[in-house]
Amino acid sequence: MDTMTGKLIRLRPHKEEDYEFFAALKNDLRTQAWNQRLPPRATVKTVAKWVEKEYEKPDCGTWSIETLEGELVGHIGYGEGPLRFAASIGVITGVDFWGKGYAMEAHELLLEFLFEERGIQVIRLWTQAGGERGVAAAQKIGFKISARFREGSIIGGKLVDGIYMDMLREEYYESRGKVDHIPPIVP
Amino acid sequence: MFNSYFNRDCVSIPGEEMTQDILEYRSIEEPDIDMIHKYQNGECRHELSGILDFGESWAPMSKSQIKEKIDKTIKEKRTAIFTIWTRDGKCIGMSDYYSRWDPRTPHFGIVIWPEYRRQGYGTQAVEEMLKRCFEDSIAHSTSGYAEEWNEASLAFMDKLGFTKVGIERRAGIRNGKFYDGIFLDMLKAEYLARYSGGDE
Repeated sequence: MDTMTGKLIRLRPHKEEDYEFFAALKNDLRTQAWNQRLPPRATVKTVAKWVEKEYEKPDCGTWSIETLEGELVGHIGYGEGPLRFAASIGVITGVDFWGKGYAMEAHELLLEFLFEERGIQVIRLWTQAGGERGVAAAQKIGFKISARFREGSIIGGKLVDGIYMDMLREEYYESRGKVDHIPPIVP
Repeated sequence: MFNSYFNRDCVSIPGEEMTQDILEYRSIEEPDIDMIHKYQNGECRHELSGILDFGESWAPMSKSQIKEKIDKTIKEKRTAIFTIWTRDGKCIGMSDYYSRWDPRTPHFGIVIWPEYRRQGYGTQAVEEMLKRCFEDSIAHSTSGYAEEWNEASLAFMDKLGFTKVGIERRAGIRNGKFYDGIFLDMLKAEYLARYSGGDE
């Protein structure tokens, strides 16, 4: 891959002017991370601190998602563990941008980076059963549900299951019609 | 958003009959490092590497590495790590308890030293931890984890009432093959029905 640019969006390093929008995303219960239910009190300062910490970690990556016209849509990132073997990913996009294919393409770019450039064997993500939209979107990308932690989250006054999903390296290559040129770890 | 959610729940070998009525927890102090080092360099290497979050689970750890890991763990929020003793002064194992992500869904791991296995200590230790989870905290559920090849641990958790809720595909590599991890959980209602006669 030459750059992390698709047909609709690109992934680029964060800029300070992104932080106000990121704070708004963190303060919107619809777009928060999968089950944290953080008090909606993020500020530009707290986001800047978070970004600074993320950039210090050698086993993580995080990018802003913007349209090719330069409109900020959200952010996406990953953390590896064990290093260069497995990665967990997460994305947040503004509600106004849902259903436009932006998050889907951002995932595609990140998957390509992780499988092709980092040589990752399996990519995982968390969501919860209260957000069937999120589960369906992940399934459309090719993730499979591998575990369902019963009543693991509280969403909208209800207990919902925590959903763990994953995609194996060979599933990515097969589903994209690509050839994996990296020798398999296990014969 | 990113999870580093899974400590390895290193529940040990199935117990048979209980030999002690009550176990107690003690904080890990300087003299305990020698003992933990002995087991990590011996038969409990894999289990202790899990509890101590040591990536190379096949490798022996030095005393200073063990101390460093324990010191780091102790400083983490909503985390406990301690030794398990009988009332008559025998250290039978070690445990950790994590509720960092959400105190409603804590995790815990237990290692019983080899010479105390198959004597009921493991069962008693897990039952005590379940009690701490569900009777002394806001926990709504707790989860367990074992590698698919760890049949003893899986059978043990099944016996204690945990329910298999899924797998972690490609959890690691062992003997030249990928292996999966097995996730289990237990709801508070299930604990109460099993251990407290259903009283909330």
